[in-house]
Amino acid sequence: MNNSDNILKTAIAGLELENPAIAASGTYGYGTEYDDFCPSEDWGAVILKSISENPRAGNPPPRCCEVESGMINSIGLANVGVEIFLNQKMPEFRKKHESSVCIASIAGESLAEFELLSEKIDSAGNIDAVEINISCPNVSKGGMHFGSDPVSAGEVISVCRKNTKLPILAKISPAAGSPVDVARSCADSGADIIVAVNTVPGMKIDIEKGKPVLGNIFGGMSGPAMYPAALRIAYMIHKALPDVPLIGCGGIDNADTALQFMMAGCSAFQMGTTIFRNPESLYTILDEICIFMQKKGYKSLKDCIGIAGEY
Amino acid sequence: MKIKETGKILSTKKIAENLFELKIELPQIASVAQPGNFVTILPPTDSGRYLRRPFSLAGKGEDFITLVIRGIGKVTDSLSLLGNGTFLDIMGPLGNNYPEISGNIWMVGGGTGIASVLFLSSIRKAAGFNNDRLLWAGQTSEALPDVYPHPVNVDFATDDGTKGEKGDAADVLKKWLKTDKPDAIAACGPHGMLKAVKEIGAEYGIETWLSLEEFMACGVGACAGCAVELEKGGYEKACEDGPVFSADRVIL
Repeated sequence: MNNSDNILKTAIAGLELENPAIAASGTYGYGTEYDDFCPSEDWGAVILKSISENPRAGNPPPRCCEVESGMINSIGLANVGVEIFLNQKMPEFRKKHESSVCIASIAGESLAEFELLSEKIDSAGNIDAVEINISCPNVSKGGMHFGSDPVSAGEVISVCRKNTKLPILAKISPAAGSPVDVARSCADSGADIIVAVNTVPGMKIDIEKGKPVLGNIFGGMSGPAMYPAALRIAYMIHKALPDVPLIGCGGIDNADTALQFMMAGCSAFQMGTTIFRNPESLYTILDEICIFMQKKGYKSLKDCIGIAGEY
Repeated sequence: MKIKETGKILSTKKIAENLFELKIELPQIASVAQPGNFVTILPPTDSGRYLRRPFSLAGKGEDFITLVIRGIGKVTDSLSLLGNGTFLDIMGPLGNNYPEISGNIWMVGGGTGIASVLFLSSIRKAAGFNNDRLLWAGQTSEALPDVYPHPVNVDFATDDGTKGEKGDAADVLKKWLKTDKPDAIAACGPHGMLKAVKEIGAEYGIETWLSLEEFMACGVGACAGCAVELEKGGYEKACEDGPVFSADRVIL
């Protein structure tokens, strides 16, 4: 990686990241699955799979399918539950990756569950920040239902804020009526960072069988096809809330789109579906960002973050 | 250790209607791959597809692997047309493998499901197992090779009787079971076939192993997209816990 001068370093809400690339929750497992290809040390940070209070089996298969330039998933927050996560998964991760910046993601079905989860993550002692998933489209309770309006989104963040001193990331849905209002409410309620955005609700129908492809019928669409929609929301949030730290997410699979999100106002960006396609895209993207910065004469990422917001 | 390696196509051979055998130079992955393992391939650019596609290994040599591919979509159509010398981005070996079994195995492959049992049968033959049987089932003779050079004799079966035994894989297994019984069955193929093989295994009390084919996004256990439903409730991942499962554990 061409980062010898540390020009890729970025700081966001007290988190010091070696580079702006963050592995998105749900695409990087519990942090060790991609050790042979793109280990957590090489990322600015990694966000582990969303955790609930009790283990969740997830949705009936098929759980994912490909669509034009992307995919739809309906995993349904399948996870091991917070106890196994803290007592087994996190120690396994830390044993191999002592110094990586590791962010837990939590997804509750109720305010009480978010309260419990944020408290447990806070007291774990080996987690650097917590992302609040109020935007999963694949569950019947919680998820996107919390993130669809500013009041309920703010309530979730408030509850978590009372229980943790860790930096809070609020990951919002592109399907919210007004993502900007949801972001504002989250920031006002104590979120340190806004992540824009989670997957776009969608579906696919098998025309031979005349039935929906996914077992859950609906899912969340991701991949490069969604980046313009995600970028617009990130841009709008930064225009409305220029002082709120922002992380871009949605279809980033090359340096060009990553830079677009940063120029829209994001201090870092998440990658997800592209990891499935090519786990080494992390290195290509960071190398190409370095080359672009050198070409432009940028000394640090600050020289490009938010510059498109003037327009 | 999972490996990402650039493979070079050494040959593409049409072995039946719309069925191709690809030989790919892939020394690192070949050195550690075992029967049951799969690789994922980055779709060729002209396919216009995004996610890697999983393929079970059909065999290996010192520095190459073989795959059996049926053209069922843009990626497989594209792969079947690539010329010798084309480079492919490959990850593997992924998933678990067939367990070691000391007795005789009857191996059954339906469609491209033949791949993993071809690999298993050749490895076992090399290890000195001489009493295994291998059945390759297809709907019609067009779906099967005329002859298939292989260290283990291949028996064929077709639904319409145009090649080999008449009947599906389950019919032939039941016929064989009238006079003999293996210590284990290993099968890979369409869900309907595997369901029937699972029932036969249970009915005759034979240890049965199934290699399951599911749509995968990551292939390495990270996304939980390739869920396989378990008899005890809940799910496991075809890519990480499988693709080879004991038949009595899974719901088909």
